[in-house]
Amino acid sequence: MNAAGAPGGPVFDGFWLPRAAREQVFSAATRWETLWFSGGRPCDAPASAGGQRTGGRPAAGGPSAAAVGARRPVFSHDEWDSLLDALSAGRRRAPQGAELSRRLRTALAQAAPALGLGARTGDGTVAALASSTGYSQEMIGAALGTPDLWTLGEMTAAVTADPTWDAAGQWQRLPGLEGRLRFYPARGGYRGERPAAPIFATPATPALVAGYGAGNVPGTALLIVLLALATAATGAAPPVVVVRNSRREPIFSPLVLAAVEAVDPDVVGSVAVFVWDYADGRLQRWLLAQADLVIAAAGDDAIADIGAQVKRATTDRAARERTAREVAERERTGSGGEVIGPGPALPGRGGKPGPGEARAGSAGGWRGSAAGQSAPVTPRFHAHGHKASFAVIGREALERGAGERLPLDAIAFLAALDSAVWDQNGCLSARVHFVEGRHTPADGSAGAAAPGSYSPLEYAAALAAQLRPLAVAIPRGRWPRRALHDAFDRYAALTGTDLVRVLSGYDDDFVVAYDARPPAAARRGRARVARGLDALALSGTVGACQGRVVVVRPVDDLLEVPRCYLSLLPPATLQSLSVAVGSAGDRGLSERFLRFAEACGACGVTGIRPLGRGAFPRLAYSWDGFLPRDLVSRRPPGHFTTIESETPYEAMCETYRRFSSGAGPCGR
Amino acid sequence: MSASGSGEGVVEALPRARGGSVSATHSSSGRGDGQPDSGSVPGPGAGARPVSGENGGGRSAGTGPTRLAGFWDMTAAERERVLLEGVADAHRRHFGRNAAYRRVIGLRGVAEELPPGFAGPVATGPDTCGQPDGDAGHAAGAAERELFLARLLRPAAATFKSYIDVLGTPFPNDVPRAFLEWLADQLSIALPVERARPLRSTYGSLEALLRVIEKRYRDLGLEVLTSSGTSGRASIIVRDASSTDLNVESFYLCFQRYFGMTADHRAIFLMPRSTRIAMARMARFSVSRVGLSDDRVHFAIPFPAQPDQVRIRAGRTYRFDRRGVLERRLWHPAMARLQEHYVDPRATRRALALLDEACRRREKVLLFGSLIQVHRVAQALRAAGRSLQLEPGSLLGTGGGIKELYPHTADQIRADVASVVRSRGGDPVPIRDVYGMAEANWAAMQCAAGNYHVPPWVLVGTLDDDDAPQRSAESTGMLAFWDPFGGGGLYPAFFRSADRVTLVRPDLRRPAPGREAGPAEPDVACPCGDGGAYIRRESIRRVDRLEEAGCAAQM
Repeated sequence: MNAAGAPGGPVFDGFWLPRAAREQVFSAATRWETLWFSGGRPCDAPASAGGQRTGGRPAAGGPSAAAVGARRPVFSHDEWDSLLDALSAGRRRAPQGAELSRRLRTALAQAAPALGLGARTGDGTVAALASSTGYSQEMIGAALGTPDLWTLGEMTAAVTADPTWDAAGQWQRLPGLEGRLRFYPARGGYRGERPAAPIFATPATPALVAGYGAGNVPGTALLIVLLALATAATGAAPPVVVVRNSRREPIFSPLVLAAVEAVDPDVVGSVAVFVWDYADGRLQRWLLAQADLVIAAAGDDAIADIGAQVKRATTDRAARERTAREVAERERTGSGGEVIGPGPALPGRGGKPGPGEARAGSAGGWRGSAAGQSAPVTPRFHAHGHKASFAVIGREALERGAGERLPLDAIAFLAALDSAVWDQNGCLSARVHFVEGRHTPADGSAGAAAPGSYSPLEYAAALAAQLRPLAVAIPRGRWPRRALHDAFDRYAALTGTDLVRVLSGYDDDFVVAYDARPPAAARRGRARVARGLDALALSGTVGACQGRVVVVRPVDDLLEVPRCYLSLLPPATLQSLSVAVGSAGDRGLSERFLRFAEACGACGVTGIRPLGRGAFPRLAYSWDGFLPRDLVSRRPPGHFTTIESETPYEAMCETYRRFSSGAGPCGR
Repeated sequence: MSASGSGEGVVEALPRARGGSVSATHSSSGRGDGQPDSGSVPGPGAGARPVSGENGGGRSAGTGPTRLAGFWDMTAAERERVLLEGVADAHRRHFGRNAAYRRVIGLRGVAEELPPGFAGPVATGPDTCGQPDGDAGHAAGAAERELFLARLLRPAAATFKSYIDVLGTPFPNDVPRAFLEWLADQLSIALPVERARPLRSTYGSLEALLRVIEKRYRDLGLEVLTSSGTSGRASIIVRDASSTDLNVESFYLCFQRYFGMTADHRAIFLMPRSTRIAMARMARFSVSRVGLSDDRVHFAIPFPAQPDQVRIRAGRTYRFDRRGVLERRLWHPAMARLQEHYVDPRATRRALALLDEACRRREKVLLFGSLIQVHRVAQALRAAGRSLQLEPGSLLGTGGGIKELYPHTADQIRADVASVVRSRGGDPVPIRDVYGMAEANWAAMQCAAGNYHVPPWVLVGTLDDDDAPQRSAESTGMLAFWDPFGGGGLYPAFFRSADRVTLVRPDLRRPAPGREAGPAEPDVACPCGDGGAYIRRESIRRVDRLEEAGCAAQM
């Protein structure tokens, strides 16, 4: 544990730099700031910590459970310069290509148990993460102690995959990977290319990746680091990776990277993760002007800000590269003379060039070591804004019967997991559960269903029954119950008709509402008006489904989900579906399911994965429409949708076995 | 009398005078038949008279002591007991008759009958409470009471905007009959829905529909009001004659007490005469009730503010058909321009002219509007290089907060106003704010010390983030109120607001560790000398958005 005791509570490193960089950059003059958290919220420094939020290295002292601190360096411009030098050196030492991937996988596998994240409660690391993020310790243990998070074995295949334009017309298998992909070109993106032609241009490993992580779901910065390092799969050296970590969760990613470094320092020698002020325009312009790839996983406002900064940086970059060419030309022709690039000079440096400026395009600096490949002029910007995800339960998953079928409780348990993990604060968390089946008026506690299958209302009741013990095994974080009460009241107010039921109690730590009211489009004639009303209603429903609020909606047919619901939401806000489809013994995906998936992809859904895996995505597949291949290549605008399993039913069974075993994180 | 079809109004729920029985509620009439007790219940103090719509409502009723005013004379214990009895009674009455209330509260596990002892005595001070401190049964009773009190609360805005969810549209005029059914569902009176049959299938505007409804149910004295609608989706609130009267009286008493308003003021409202916005309408009725004749009440905005106009101007909710395109592309920008270049300047000019006239006549003035509107008047004066010297006793009243982007803070506005508007003696003219909401039948008015005083006939508290009541003399949380009389016969006015406030209840004893009650804390009383609960100045903050946590989208 890299925590230092402090009078007011344990202080963790809220940053990560490779050892060599720490030795090179830190000095007695380095300024430090400590962010304090309690109950998932920033707080003032505990009085016993002297009320200091800034200055000096943290002092030693007895820890306190009340608050946890995360210290971070506040770099001067010289220190930034020095940092990039150190990371560049680390890049030169790093293993390349498949060797990096192999060693990184090994190091992660060895490091993960050492973190002790699978522990339920009590561990210092888990407790600190709980205190800083607000999630329960059990949640931290259950979600981060899952080995799937560390699975990187598929990344080499994913980064080197070369989908063709055929994927714009039909589902395409992924070479070396399970599942399928489709490409949905943006308007004007498809110009009649041959089906066999590759979608992507020739790959080029980025020399510098700038990342931005936000929110309180742990690991966003780590995810960006892993993706950035995966670009080495093309055979090149890994890029320099600088990730601006979230202020709301600054501890987890540094912990993991430190553990990896302890196993194999070279694989993370070019990576830095820390918090800096992204509103510092000059710093941002300087940094982004050097980046080949910018990955931002943040709120929509932050994404817009960073996007604007990337655009400005592009202008700087173009000018800088023009200047570099001129310098090279003069050097070649012997005209001599030092020319400083026109990029933004950081303040306070007088006539000295800003960090990295003189290096741009020169032979001796870190940019010159970019595996001998010239980076594109415009940095690519992968924006991952806030999104919404859903669960879809197919009719076949609700069939009654014994034998090999997963029982209703198991289906409901997996669905409950998809909505409960990270308390539905994650973009991958299922909000509305669409259930294929007819609404049947309730008689008794659950709606009567057609013989042989459970009704959507019975599913909703089973879901509530599964969420209840889950709320004990993995308690909700420290979020106000008021939001739950509001959702409860909202649906309670609608129970005047038997089309709406509330299946949870007012005191439950979750809400399950069943809403079988038909969309306005099904009731009213004027299509445009009806769709407008439906969109308004659905947006309100989806917006309310946070903090473990699930609305179950019956649909007559799977295709209703994209046609009557998903198409009403802005495509950019859709992310993934976790699906319960298929039957035991299925070989491959059915045509019916592929048609459904295609329609969902057309609406903007980018990931389709088996129920129960909603909160545990695999890095090798589409993340908000970007494939890992997007990390190294350009392509026409559009988005990829991936189906992450060829046998979703078997995958559900496997997930259920894993999570429901006594040793599993949910301890069933 | 009660104008409501249920046969029950507010009269019978109001307290008896101090010194007499304080247990009088509507059920104490002994009729037990659900019919109103038409006999007048004596109010507190000499000369008290009943409050009801019998005499044509408070709008024209002149001044005089009423029974609401009697709450100021009660001891804290008396007041709390009367209010709790009123809450229990209102709950019982509405639970049986109000389907919407019963559905929500019933699903929370609350039954029609509250636990025995719900309105029993509480520890409020050594002078009034007969119970010994720390009595275990008493503590348990208090805890149980708080639990039930919290469970009776509905979210204010969500309740009165629930028509959007129920009807599936924010445009009730598109589904008039369904809207009427929603309305009937929300009310504790029997609203004859069969009168909806002659309703058209759609109406061109919400205003048109509301007018028709008011006309159809004229015998019930229904009046449909709205919130300010800045979110683009207005709360729709119904009042009947008796609840309107009570509301007017509530405002009027507070105008008198905190603003010192008398019948010799000239009232200038920076608002339209014709509007359904509840706060504006109540303020207007209330100054009339003070006794101002019509020629002394002025409205500076010469145009009506109908709900659809307010919605379009807010620019957040448009219709989904071609009309919506027009609303978005034509009407919204046109109305914004009209407002900026014509309506606002004209209202400011008109207000200035009226103020000048009042100055000439040496009349006391109440100028009432939003902070921004009052600021415009000050800016106009400053631009003209002028200042005003109003008669002593004049007052600037503000309300509604700052709901739009505005480059000046409230303090800057007050400073600007104070620099150009002074009283004839040279003193600054007091600027007093009013805190209220359309869903409440009361308002908290700012005293000279700047705090907002809650009328004593309303039980108030704060809830923590988990909706648990906070029981300390000073607490910060979501404001909750139980107004046993305000909803009249229509609905129980027990609501959680969307405002986080710091509430001070000097009467409340802070529980000491291990004990239910501790020493009284008289030091938290407002420096203005007025007892009772108040909201600390500058502590009101609207909380209607979830704090962004993870990467999940908010839609």
